[in-house]
Amino acid sequence: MKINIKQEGGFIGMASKAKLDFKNLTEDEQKTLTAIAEEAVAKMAEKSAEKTMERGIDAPMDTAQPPLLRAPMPAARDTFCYSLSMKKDGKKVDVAFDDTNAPPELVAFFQKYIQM
Amino acid sequence: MKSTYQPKYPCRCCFIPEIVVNELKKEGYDIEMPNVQMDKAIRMRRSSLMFMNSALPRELGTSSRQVFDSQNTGSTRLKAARKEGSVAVTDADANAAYDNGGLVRDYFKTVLGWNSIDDNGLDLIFNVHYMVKYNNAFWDGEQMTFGDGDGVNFQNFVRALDVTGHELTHGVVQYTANLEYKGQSGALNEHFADVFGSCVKQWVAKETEKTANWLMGEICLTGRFKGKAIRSMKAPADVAVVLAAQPDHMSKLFKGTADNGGVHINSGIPNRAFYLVSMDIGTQTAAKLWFETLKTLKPTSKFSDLYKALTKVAKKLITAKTVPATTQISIDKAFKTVGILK
Repeated sequence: MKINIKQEGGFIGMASKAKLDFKNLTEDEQKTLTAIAEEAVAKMAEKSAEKTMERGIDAPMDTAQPPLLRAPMPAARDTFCYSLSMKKDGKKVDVAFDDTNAPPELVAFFQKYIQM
Repeated sequence: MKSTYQPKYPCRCCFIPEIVVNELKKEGYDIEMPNVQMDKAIRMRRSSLMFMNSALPRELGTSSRQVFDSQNTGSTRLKAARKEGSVAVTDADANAAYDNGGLVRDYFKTVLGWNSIDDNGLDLIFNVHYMVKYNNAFWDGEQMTFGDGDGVNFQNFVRALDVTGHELTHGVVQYTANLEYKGQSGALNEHFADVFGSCVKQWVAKETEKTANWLMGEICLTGRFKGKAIRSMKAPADVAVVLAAQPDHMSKLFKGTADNGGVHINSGIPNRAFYLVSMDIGTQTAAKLWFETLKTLKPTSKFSDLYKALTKVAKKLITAKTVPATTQISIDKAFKTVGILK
């Protein structure tokens, strides 16, 4: 499974990205990404169920919104934005965080693989 | 199910309720508690922030400095390192945060007549040693946080006075124009942060517009890169000087979605305009003009609104003899040079 990661912003204001192979990651890194992906998928399902309740069971599934996980600080400035795109059980998962809501282990993951 | 989501501005997230997290944990999902605790803390702090930003009268603060050591974790306000009035400690970075924070606070009060971040004596909170080898400094809406840098590419974020000035100014902007952090208003937010970061550095070093180097964050670079500094207000596009070129004219305006619509990219355009006006009327005179103008801007203000607002404010300041009579000519010349004024 390929994983695309991108880091941008910060005081420096530079953007960098990398393409990784899941099988080459350490066990801890795989665990971190799997947890994030599962959380995201659960959130997507929850969101989809809410929409179905609102629109009716025959309405098309709404996948237009991202699987948003945690609230960032709205007034945060110069934080890094961390985004990653991967597949979980055949489903494409796009998630984004910033420094105020990213799990510390995810920040460490980006620090390891993103070349500034 | 394939997501068709294409992020316009990538940092958009929402909170997963604790009850949902607990249910997921019961089902065997490995969701770390610190994240939940972090969300709780964030929500609590946000509530207090909303209160602070309300129109309710607030008790005048003492703009006291408090420095915390994150001990290379992702936590803030973790271990008290130094507080207002205490003697220097063994941690040079904690002392740098304390000393630089004091200088920026003094600059705003002495030169611009502004009491701390909110003009009401809000305490200044600093966190040092955030994460491991973290290449950044940021303002989170309530406090400033500094990484150590990786030592290979970047270093000394907390020791750079202009970086502290920049981050603290984000707080001041929050309590004045509260410029939205996207597109041109976001670039103006970054611009004002660079302006006062640069001005406080010149003020402390007793430099003038002619003797200053107009660089931002030059001591944060280890020397591995070709550029000498992270940004230059004098030459934003000069790759021999800066880490990454910024546009210095409206014809080169970045129109992509990266970096919240180029907030750290397009700030080069108004930055150069500030430099040009400063060369005519002096840095600290220009700083007063810019600061009074900041108070009149709206959250959605664009570059052209900055020009219009400067013109209005300049008229008043010329009458009050705070700025020279030729200031409007200098503004027009600078804004034509960078292409904001046609």
